[in-house]
Amino acid sequence: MLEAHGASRILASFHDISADWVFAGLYFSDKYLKEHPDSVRKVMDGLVKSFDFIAGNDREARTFLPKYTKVEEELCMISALRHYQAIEPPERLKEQIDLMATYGYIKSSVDVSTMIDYGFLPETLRHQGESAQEQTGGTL
Amino acid sequence: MNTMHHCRKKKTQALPLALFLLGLGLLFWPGAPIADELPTVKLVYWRSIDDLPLYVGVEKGFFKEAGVNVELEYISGEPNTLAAVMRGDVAGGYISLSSLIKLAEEKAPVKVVAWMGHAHPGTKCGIHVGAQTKYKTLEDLRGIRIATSGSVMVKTLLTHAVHKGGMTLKDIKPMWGATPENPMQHEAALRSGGIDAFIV
Repeated sequence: MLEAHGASRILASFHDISADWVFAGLYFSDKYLKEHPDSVRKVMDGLVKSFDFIAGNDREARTFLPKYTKVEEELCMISALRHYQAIEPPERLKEQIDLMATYGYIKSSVDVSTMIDYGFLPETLRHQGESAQEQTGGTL
Repeated sequence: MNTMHHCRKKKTQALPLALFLLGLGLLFWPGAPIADELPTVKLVYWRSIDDLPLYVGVEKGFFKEAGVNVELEYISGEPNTLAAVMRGDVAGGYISLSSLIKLAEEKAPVKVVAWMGHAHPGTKCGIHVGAQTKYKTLEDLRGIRIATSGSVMVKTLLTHAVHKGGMTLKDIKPMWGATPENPMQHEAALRSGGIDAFIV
């Protein structure tokens, strides 16, 4: 976004440094998931529709950005968007965790599988996630 | 023949009953649920371009179509978001993988239910240098003054970048804790010569 002003340029993107870097996840408390599973499923249904919409309608999707981000529309239309994917390959997550551990920023390679629950996603996606885990033998 | 007649007769009798029930249904259930009647789920957003799926879901009505009314609430930062989620002020929010690791160590009662995107070849997040400077490759970073937030994610990526350039963090000058509210402040620091690069 900033290079659009001509002051800076990107020397190496996060993707150049570590491909397909996963940024963040959407989470709920266990209590909320237990008390409102149906609402969470509905949120996931809507979210996955949004992912699909952005993938196929990039330009229209970007028109909603200025209202929420207060970033100039001109910049919103050229900023790089993430690739949205509800289930990330477990080996990708493990690579990132291993990197953090290798450089000493976390104590050790922690298993975060207990902190992830794809069970609220639409069934078709859930099966994709299960097969990915089975193929890699991963625990994530 | 007799059986056919019987079936027709049953259908003829069933039609008024069906219309009656339909009318009754319309009387007591006036159409599809409107937004106010849908369960409301409050989600935290960060006014970021990366929150786009939430904005699209609200603006295009995808959440309402799915049967839920999503309200977006701005709360700054992961710790504040987590506190709000645990208090029940909001239903959910974002968390980075590095923070999720910390929560896993503490066995915190939360779950990530979906990831919110990853970098790709067109990603603009990364190490930015002055447009007219000599820096071209990761090997050129030696001695560079680079502003960085100091989050585990950014530290990891920066350390890995200099590693790929054949160095360690000792070979550059990270300026930890640079977390301007507005990304344009990075640009201002770059223009003023206070820094040579920033990672964001």
